[in-house]
Amino acid sequence: MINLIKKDFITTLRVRPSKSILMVIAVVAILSIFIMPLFQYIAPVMLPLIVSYIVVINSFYYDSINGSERFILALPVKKEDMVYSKYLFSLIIVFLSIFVIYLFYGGIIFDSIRGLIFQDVVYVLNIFLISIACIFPLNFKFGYGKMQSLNLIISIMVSIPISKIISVIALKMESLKPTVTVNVEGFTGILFEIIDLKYVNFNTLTIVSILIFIFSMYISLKIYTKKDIL
Amino acid sequence: MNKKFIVVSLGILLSAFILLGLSNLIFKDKVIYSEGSDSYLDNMKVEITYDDYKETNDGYEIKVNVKNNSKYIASIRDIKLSPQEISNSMEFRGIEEYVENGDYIMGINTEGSKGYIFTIPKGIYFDKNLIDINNMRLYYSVDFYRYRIGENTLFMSVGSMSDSILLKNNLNTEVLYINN
Repeated sequence: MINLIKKDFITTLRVRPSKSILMVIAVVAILSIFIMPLFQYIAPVMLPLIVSYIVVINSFYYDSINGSERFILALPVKKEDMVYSKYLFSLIIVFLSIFVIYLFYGGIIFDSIRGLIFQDVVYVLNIFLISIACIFPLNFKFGYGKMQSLNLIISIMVSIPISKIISVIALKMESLKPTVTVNVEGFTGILFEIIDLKYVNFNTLTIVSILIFIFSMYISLKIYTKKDIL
Repeated sequence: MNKKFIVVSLGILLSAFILLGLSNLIFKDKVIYSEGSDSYLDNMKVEITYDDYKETNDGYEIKVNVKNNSKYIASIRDIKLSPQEISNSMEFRGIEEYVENGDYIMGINTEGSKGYIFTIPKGIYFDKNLIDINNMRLYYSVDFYRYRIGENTLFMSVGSMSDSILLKNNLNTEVLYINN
């Protein structure tokens, strides 16, 4: 299993494909510093999210174009190790990206608008974990080839309600400050009333996402071990 | 399979707990957006002081000086002077001072200042018993911007504030008072 994770690292980060990641980082860096200061506001969330997503999807992509799935399963490797390795790989990638973005944005640098805050980490972790939890079982069931175009759509659709919940939690925390009054209407207002900060906050939300992630791993295991690899 | 699954799940949970614990420690007081930047409230202030008055053909001009003490670029949205007793009915609007041979720029840069002039036109008189011209109230509202693009464009508003101060002046009020 460890070697499978190593293989994923090598195919996605060390070979030619790292160009696409460097391009994403360069584009965001240039936009942040030179052209749109507004971009600095969302860069600490967008950058780790996009890069982690590209790396993890690339691991599936390179497995599918290399045909490595059949080759690896002909070796004495258990099927469940394939599943474990993909999930652990995606977790390691997101932790690494958060660590790297903390090194760059940890304080307020380059006269930027803000430094890294906990809410950014929460955004990245939760959106990434739940998107992965949704698309991995489908990738294992139908193969990467069929799921290629759907992956992104499902991830974006899933990320919208999650970011809404996170922003309402943040709004609720803002409203507790003595000098702030918050005005919410409509659906956001309903969410605002329902959420009780003692039970629904950043920490519990992340734990729920991790549990969903583990549950999705369980489902993928069940799917993949029963699947016939032709 | 079950044993391995439990081991891996526990590993994932543990690493997540460690990450959460570390983040809570590191980002102890930088949890939401308003805590991510320097404190806004302390940094959005302008200082308004009475400067001078002079009599011209048009009327009596009261000048105030607006100094920008914040680290953002201030742009006065409006500034009005009005005797407290009649503040609901009559107010004098302040106009930016025209500086000869000066370049007009929009807004007030950090540590910069601008003059604003209120003109009480000739022909208006106030009743001494009812209205006090020497203690008028000045209302102002300011927008704060972060970047300047050229002389006439400001970009990215960070907030605005409005307030009122009591402005003591030393107008030659006898001219403006009419005795019953």
